[in-house]
Amino acid sequence: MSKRILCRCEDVTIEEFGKAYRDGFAEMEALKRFTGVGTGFCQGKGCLCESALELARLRGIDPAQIPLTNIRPPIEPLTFEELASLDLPPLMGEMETALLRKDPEVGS
Amino acid sequence: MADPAVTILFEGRPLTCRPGQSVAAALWDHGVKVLSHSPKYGRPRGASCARGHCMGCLMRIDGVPNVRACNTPVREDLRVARQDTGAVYGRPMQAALANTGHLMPVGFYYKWFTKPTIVAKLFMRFIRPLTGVGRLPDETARRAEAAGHDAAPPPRSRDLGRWDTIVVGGGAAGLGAALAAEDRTLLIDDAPRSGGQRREALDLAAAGDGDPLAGLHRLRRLREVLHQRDALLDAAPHVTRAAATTVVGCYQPDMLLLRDGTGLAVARADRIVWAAGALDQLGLFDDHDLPGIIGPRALYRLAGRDGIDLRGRTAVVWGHGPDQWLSAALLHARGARVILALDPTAAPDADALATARRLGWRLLTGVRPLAALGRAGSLAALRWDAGQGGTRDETACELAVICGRGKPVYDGAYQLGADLVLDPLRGGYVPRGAAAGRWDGRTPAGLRLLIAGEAAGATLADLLEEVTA
Repeated sequence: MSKRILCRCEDVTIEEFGKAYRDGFAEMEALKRFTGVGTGFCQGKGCLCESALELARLRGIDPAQIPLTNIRPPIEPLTFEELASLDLPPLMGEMETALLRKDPEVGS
Repeated sequence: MADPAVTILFEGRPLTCRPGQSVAAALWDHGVKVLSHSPKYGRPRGASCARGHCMGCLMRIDGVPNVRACNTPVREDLRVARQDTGAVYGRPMQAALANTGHLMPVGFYYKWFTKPTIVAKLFMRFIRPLTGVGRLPDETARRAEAAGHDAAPPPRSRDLGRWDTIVVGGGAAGLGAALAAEDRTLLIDDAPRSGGQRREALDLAAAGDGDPLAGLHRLRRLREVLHQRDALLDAAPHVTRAAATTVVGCYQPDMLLLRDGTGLAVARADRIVWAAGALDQLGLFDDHDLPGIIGPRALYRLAGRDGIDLRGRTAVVWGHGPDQWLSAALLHARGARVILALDPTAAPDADALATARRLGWRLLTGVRPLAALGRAGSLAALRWDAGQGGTRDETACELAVICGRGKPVYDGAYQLGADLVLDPLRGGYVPRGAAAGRWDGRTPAGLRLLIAGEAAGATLADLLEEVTA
């Protein structure tokens, strides 16, 4: 069957994304959680822009009004072995990611 | 003299490969383009970005699952296997679902059989194994076996300390920023050799039969500039290079978590330059996810460093702009039969067209891909929307290079606190108020941040304007 895949990692089609939107998921943060776009192995490298543009089209608004969803580290896949090698305690205080500030803002 | 060949074991079958190739490229040369399958519909997946981003090439390598075949070099006796062949119901079941999926409503798998709990549990037990990722390896057994050959030491983390400037990205923009920095600078590049994704492609194209770069004056100039900047950097005492190093995360105000071959490292800087370039954008036509459809950046890697055998293969290069022409020139230099498919917006100059005619490239004009057609899981033809009259021509090809607008790499800039805005004209999320491929300012946390080059929404065409000015 031919399909138009929006998110390759989570196999979300354009059709499924549109259905989720019509089901009432009108924000990227909600669509991300409901359909899985941007939550797969590639963490949105292949689909977040495309999905946001599709949402702007569905809503009929300027793409500039679709904020980027929160992109948390790691942005490159790691093994637990590598993570365990980090000398974490001295770093913990400094590891403030954008998410701490952004989460309340974007409602995630 | 060529190095002696190495032999890898692909699902028990010995395959001869060229040293220095990635596993994905070696498999391509042996006709294996389907490296994994998507989790829900079991759609074939391959090395579509060839740079470790798309995860289409996750395989089981030496027993370890989820290893990127595009980033793993071949090695004698390396064991490589597709990791979704061991799924409980196997591929036939997945294929059956992919072909009957249209009968089921969208989202059935998370809406059906959710109540009562016992039914939900049984349904989960049925549907989970369909993703086919397989079992985790026995780590003790793996280590014991790896000890036989060159077992990698366990990863260790390091602190690279504080720098005046850290530049992320070794392309034209990153090299330029590192040269301009003048203070203690760390230059981070995910490639083993800096110069950007196009440097090797330019070198190979320039050396091709019939001089495919002859009429592409600005690309030839870019090649000179990249070589020049690279040589200047070699002689620059203020710059330390960290090659084959990727950014794992950015932490405010000023810290980067990095990874190289030995493990993780942290580094801090007074000023960070985010020049991480752009990713390929493959469009959204039907079945555009078939293995064999790639972007120009993937081609530069596969036909460049990886050196896949393209002699006599038919390749379509669709789109417009300098990346399309560089892709075509590289394919020609590698012996492929080039079909240059110009989109309706393409406006090539006379010299470029003369090169195409001289080298015997087939030319299609004013077309857009409508659908990809596959055979045995990978690309066999593209179907075109030729505009007026609605004609639907098809072009047989086993490789299609889709040269769309590059998508700026935004993740690190976002994590450092940059204010990004979605701008389709600039390919994706770019810094708000960026002008001429540049945003220079302070983050809310006080870091001096420069976002430059394709990461700030510039195109290769913009860059060529700059280097030829």
